[in-house]
Formats: sequence, structure tokens, C-alpha cells
Amino acid sequence: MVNGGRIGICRSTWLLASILAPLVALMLPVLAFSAGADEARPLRLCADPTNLPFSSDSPATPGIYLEIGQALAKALGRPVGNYWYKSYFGKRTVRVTLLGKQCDAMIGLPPSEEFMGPALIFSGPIARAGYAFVTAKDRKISSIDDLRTLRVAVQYQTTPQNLLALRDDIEKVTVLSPEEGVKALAQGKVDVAFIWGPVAGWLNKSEYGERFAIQTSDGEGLLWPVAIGFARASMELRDQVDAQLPAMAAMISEIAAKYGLPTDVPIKLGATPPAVRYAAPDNPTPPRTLDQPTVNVATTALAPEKPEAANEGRQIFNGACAHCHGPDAVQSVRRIDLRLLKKRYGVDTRDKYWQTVHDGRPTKGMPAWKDVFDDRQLESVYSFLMAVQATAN
Amino acid sequence: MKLRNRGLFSGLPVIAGLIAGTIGATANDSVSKAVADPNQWAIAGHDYGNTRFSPLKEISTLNIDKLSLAYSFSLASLRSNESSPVVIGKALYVTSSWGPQYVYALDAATGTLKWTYEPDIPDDVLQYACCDVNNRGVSYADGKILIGRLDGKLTALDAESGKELWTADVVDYKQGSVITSPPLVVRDKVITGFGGGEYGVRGALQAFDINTGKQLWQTFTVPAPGEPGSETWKGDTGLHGGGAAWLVGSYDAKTDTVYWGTSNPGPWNTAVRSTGDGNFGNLSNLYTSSTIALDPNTGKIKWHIQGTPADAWDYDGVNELVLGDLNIDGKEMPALMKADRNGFFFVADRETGKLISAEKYVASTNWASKFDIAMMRAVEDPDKRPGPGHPAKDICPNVIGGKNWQPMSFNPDTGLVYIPTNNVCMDWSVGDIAFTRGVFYLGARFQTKEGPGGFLGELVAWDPVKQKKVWGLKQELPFNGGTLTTAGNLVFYGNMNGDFLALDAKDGTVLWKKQLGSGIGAGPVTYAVDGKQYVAVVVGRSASLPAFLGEIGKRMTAVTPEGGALFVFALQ
Repeated sequence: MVNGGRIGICRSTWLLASILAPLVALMLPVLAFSAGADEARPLRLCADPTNLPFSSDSPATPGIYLEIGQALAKALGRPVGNYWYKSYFGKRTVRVTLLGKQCDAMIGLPPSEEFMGPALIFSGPIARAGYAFVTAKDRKISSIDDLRTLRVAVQYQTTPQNLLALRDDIEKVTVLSPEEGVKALAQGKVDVAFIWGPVAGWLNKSEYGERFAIQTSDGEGLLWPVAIGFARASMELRDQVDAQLPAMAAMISEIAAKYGLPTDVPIKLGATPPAVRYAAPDNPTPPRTLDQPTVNVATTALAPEKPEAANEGRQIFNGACAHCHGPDAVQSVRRIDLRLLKKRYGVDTRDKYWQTVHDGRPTKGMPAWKDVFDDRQLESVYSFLMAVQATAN
Repeated sequence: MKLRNRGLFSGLPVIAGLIAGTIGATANDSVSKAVADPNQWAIAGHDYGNTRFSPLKEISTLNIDKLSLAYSFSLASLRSNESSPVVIGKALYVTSSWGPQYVYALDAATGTLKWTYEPDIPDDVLQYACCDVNNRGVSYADGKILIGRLDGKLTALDAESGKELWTADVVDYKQGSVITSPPLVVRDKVITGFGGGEYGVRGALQAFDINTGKQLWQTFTVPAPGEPGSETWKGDTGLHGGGAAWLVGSYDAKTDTVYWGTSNPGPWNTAVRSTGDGNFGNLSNLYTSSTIALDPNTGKIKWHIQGTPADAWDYDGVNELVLGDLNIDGKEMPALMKADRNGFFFVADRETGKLISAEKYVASTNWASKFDIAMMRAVEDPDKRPGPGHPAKDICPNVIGGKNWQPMSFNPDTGLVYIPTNNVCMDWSVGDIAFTRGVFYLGARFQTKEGPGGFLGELVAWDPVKQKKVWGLKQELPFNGGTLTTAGNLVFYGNMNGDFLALDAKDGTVLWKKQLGSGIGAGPVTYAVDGKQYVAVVVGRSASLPAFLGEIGKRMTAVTPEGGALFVFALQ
């Protein structure tokens, strides 16, 4: 189901970054201890050996993800180990490598519940990646309408191809890869290549002498935060990584620039007209804005038609809490399984709930939420949690 | 349909007849002779018509209780063992999964190993193969064993020694195209297709010289812009339109015609290649999800029947074409039969391409109320066609189809076709985030649901003339094995639970049953050596298909472990 949950998750990762700062101080003693215990063990990264600008087995150009991974490992005081695997079939790659325990982390996954659900957990976002209009420098594209009468390369089975599918006034040229798209542009076979921005940026820098302009797009299925993925069992490592990320922001930007990752301001292509939108969510969601700092998750996560409290609570929960407590509160780690609240706290459940969400439990990694949500919203989350309490043993 | 009527085919039977006349009615003499010997199992599907019917009848309903193990043989390779053994003389040729990892020649009566061939399959092939590392067996012709490989190559071996004679490049497996099925040999031509309909390939059939491995012709299954049929695609989308012919072909010597099924079109979003809804007019995406008839000399397409026009459900049209003669309205009719993924059983005149009937062989089929033969169009339920802004719920069959690759059989004595069917449905939406090589995109989701009635599979005995089910044997899981039928009035069938069964071909009574330890997907075969009849089956359940099926998939993997063995039975 595509509902407010996804938006919430994306927001919550941004949110986490800001919340993490004060948390980091509190968690430091724990981290230092764990880091010591892990010292000898390499931080194993799953990566594709032939996938620049993201990763490569060439020591001269290890790629964005691996350079970030190396920096991270250094910060954690661990050596790096790489597990090479071609990533043609994305989710299977993740299953076989990361979930197959061949490595500890995979850099470059979309931090969304919808991406491999509860099996994966994610760090805060480390970068952003999206489809982009690649053009000659003197051409400016700022909307789909600007593509009218032009020849536009679109990658097979991607959002740009879907977006332009019903636009008979735009001539589409199907390509299988960003490489093919940029080549068609360079050969004058197309006027615009509406393709995957990071690869276009890398090719533009490494092969085409930066002769093209790259305009990143934004909208449903066009722009994503990029994060580091871990198996659910690696929550401790994830938290360690999250603690390091704020201090690494500048370095990450440098690495990204080195590989030509577009850093422009994405242009929003606006709500896709219903006739063109292929993905039809059960609840319509407004297009997501990633670059706008978020304080109040609830206002956008809510469906417009005033759902019941529990439903509203569920949306907030899936947006802000599911990150740790599991989507719809389904969580197999008993310690943080909120379906057991009632069994654990009985008549004190309500008091315990308010105390914990207001003030957090900083030593255990639970943030304080009182400045993030108002009490009405937190009440709705409570209603949701009550609706999913375990009844039998 | 338009195309089919437009041209070519009215004059073709004459031309085809001439060709057949000049060259002789036999295709490859060695294959035709091998097929004519009732003791052999000369082609993966038994004969050029893929009937999987053997005239052997030493083993029959009368003595089936005395069937017991003659020998078993380890294939030394786990997961998705789907090979149909081929038996020529006293030699049995069988492949393992993974590439194949091994090709074995055994003494068919004793299981004694004669030779092993281990093709040099690259380690990374699993990273490119979409739907598991299977292999469905070899072909035999002119003293050679021919093998399609997961790494996109075709290899010829000397059948006697197992020595490699030549290897030809068919397709670059790194584009997601693999070969899993044995080729079809007609005269000097070894004809093969490849997979990859999901990854933006343009499907094709290719013929290679049996003596040299040199490519003789290539026919794309999807026309390029400007070619006839290209008007059924939007813009240039046909060039990446799928239509991969990845299963087995059939051949009719009388009209010198090769038949092959083609896969679904791509991409998933029908609005990209068609209109995005059921009013697609001409934009039916030829020749995907179709049966095509070709001239083996040139590869030229003679005619086609499109079973799922403008497919929106991943209904591949690849299922094998079974050729048999049916008595329809008092007349013997040269028929071509297909149990399509889309839940309809198609019967056509194999000489003209005229469709005779198309009825639902899986009762839960609901994406269309019927198939209109005059219009050559399914009468669709608009609610069940997913499209832009229109996810669809409770569509039956699901993506694995009413029948998947597991072969059916046709028994001319009973007049029935024995079909391993699936009773599984789905919700279809698009919006899941996927990524490939660092690129995120919107993927399709097909939530699997159980079909109605409390069963997920059924062995169906289907009357292709009366177009109705005669008997059925319900199964708790889908994706069960292929079938074999014999003149002993028997049907042999293995299921996902690892049970190998023999049934009365007339009424479906289970007469014999043996647990073989791993799920069965392959079709059984039978042959005789020195007057003694044997029944052989490969076991080793699919490993990656269940991953597409959610909770049902978990049950499929829980019920038996992976496996890889050949079991051979005979009367005690």
C-alpha cells in the first residue's frame, strides 16, 4: 500500500538527523564500548564492482558509495572489507548479499519501508538521487511541457518513461541505460535525455567534458533520498553509523562532487495528472518535498478526508515510529514490540506511554517527541497502538 | 489479427507444401527416425508435436502396482532441476540445473554413467538470470547432443563420447537473456530462442547450422518501426518490447512449419506501448503473448495467433504447442493446442492458423469473460485490466498463469490433454520502489492470492474437442510438474510436494504413488530397453519461483527441501 507512511519515513529520516545530534552525546559511552569490541572486525560493504559513479573495484575510482564507506569505517575504527556482487537485479542482490550476511551494510538504497519492508533498516539519508533532464547547456527544461515537440530519451521501465507515455506531443526514444541516453544526446539523436541523474553526472564529468547541463527533477518516483541499508538485526551498527553521519556531511558532499553527482536544486514537476500517473496509491498523497525541513510530520501524512483517530495515528506511527518499532507496529524484537505494551504495563500503560513519548528514553535510543507532535496527534498514535495490542499469549 | 488476414498466409500452404515435397516430408532424418522408434524418447517433448505420449504399454493400469525403483542417479546440482531426459537407443541424456552444470549420458537400463560434460558456465550467471538457474534438457540429432545454456550459448556434443563439437553465441546473457530450454532441430537447422522479456530485450528466434554452429537466420518476434506489425506499438517501444521465445518449439513436417510461443510484452506500463486501457485498438503489441508459425528454411513468420493482445498481466504466450489430430465436427483436423498462461485453452488449425476454439481450462479465470474468435480478441473485464491510475484486484490467473512451463501431454487414445494447472490470483499495482544497478524506479507489484475453492493447483484432464474438463486432481500447492501419458492408459505426474503419481488416464483414479523427496517440476518420460519399459523423472524443486509468490511461496519451500536426482522405475 502506498500511503502516508512512505512520506513519513522519508521525513523521519531527515527528522532523525536533527534529533540525533543531541542523542549522540548521550549515546557516546555505549558507542565507544561497541566500537572497541568490533575493532578487529572489518566493516564489510556489499558493492557492485562495475557500477560507477557508485562503486567500483578500481582502487583509483572506488566510487561515491565506497568512499563514503571507507570514511565511515575509519570513523568507526574498523577496516573495510568489500563483497563484490553485480547488482543487475536489485532486490535479489540485496537478498543474496546483505540479507545473506555476506556483508554488514549496503550503501545506496532508498530508505523506504516499501523497499524490502521490514527486512531492511536504513541510516539517515546521505545523499539524494533522481531522474534528471540532460541537455545542451543552452537549453532550459523546467517542466514537462518544455519537452513538447522534442525528441526525449527515456530509460526503459522508469518513471520518466511512464510520465511521458501519454504525451503524444513528445517523441520518446527508449534507451536501456543512462549511458545509452547520454550517447544519443551526444550524437544528436535526441534533444533531451530524461535519465538517471547520478550516472548522467558522472558520464558528463568523466567522458563528455561537462558539456551538458543537468537539471534534476522532483516528484513522485523521480527523486529519492539515498541511505545505507542494513539487515534488521544490525540495528546497533545502524545506530553507530547514524551517530557518525552528521559530522561527515561536508566530506560526503566533497565525495559526491568528485563523481559529478548533481547538486542543483531539483525542479518539481508538479502533481502528475491522473491520466498519466501509473502508480495509483490507495490514498492519494501529495508529492513529497525532500529539501524542505520538516517539523510537523503529521500535517502531510494525513489523508485529507479526516480519518478516524486510530487511522491517523497509524499514519503518524508509520511515518515516525515504524523506523524502529516496525511498520504497523509489527516488530519481532520483543524489547521494542509496542503490541506488548498492555501486557507489560497493564493499567499503567497510558501513563507509561505519555511519559515515554513526551520525554523519550534517551539512553535507549527513544527520542522525545513532545516538540514534534502535538498531544492530539500523540493521542491518535495511542489509539492506533491500543488497536493492535496483543490479546492472547 | 489484421495482419494475419492481411496477407501472406492464404498462399503459404502451397509454398510450404512445395518445400516439403522437394525436401521430403521428414525433417531431420535422424530425429524423425528416432521419434518413430516407439522404444525411444527422442525429443524433450517426446516428438516434434510435443505430445509427451508414448505408445509403450508394458506398464499399464493392470500392473502399475508392481512399479518400483530400477535406479536413481544424483544430478549433483540442487534447485530447479527441470530436465526431461532424452533416450536414444540404450543411452539416456539428462542435464542438471545451473547452466546446466552437468550433462550426463547414462546407460538407460542400469544408470551406469557413460560420460559427463561440464560446460564452462560463468559464475555470475545467477546474477543475470531472472527466474532461476534451470535447464530443461537436451536435443538429439545426427549423432549430436545440443544444449541451450544459461550464458546465452548453444553447444553441440558428440552423443557417443560427450566431446564438444562447437559452441555458438546466441545472445548476451548480461542483458538478462538466458537459454533454459532445448533447441528444436529441423533438417540442418538448430533453432533456439532466449528469455529476458522483462528486461527490455527484443525477442528473436535464431537458426544455427548443426554441423558448424554458424548462424543461418534470425527472426525478431517483434517488428521494427516501419515493418509490418510495427503499427501495433507506440513509437519505438517495440525495439525493447519483449516477446521472448524462451520455451520449446514444435514442428509439423507436412507443411514444414515451426511453431513457437512468445513471452509478454514490456514494459509493464501498458500506456508506454499501448493505450493503457482495454480500448487499445490496433496497439496490440505484436507478436508478443502469441503463437507464431515460421518457415524453418528462412525464419519468415507465416501467421500468428495472439492469445493476450496488449498484455497487462504478464501472461506469457510461451507455453508449448502440442500438435495432434482431432475429430472436430466429424472431420479429422490437424490441430495445434496451447494451454495459455492466460487461462484459455486454444485449439487452432495448425495448417492455416485459423482459431477453432478458446475456452477457459482454469475455472477461476476472470480477466476476460470469453475469447471472441471472430474478433480475435478477449472480451475483457475492464476492472481486471491494470493500467495507469488503475490498479486491479483479484485477477485470475496470476503471473505464473493457468499453466506455466511445465509440459502437458496429449493421449490420442483417450483424446484428452493432461494439464498441470494453477489456481492462483493476484492484485496488480505499480508503485513499489525497485532498483537496478543503482537506479531506482517504480516497479510493479503483484500480490499473490489463493484462487477460489481451497486448492492452488489441479491436474486437469481436458477434452480439446468438447472444450471441457473431464476429470481433475486438486493439489494443495501450485507449480506442479509436467505430465506423461502412455498407451497403457496411464498419466504420470509429479507435484510440488514431491509425490510422483500414476493415474488412470480415463478417469483420473490414482493408481500408484511414491514420495521422491523434493518438489517435482519436470515432466516424466518413458522408454524401453531390450523390451523392458522404464519411467523416468527428474526431481528438485524450484527455488526462485516461490520468491514471487509471498506466503504461498513459503509453503512451497517448506514442504520439501531442494533436490537434484533422476529416478527411474520399472515393473518388478
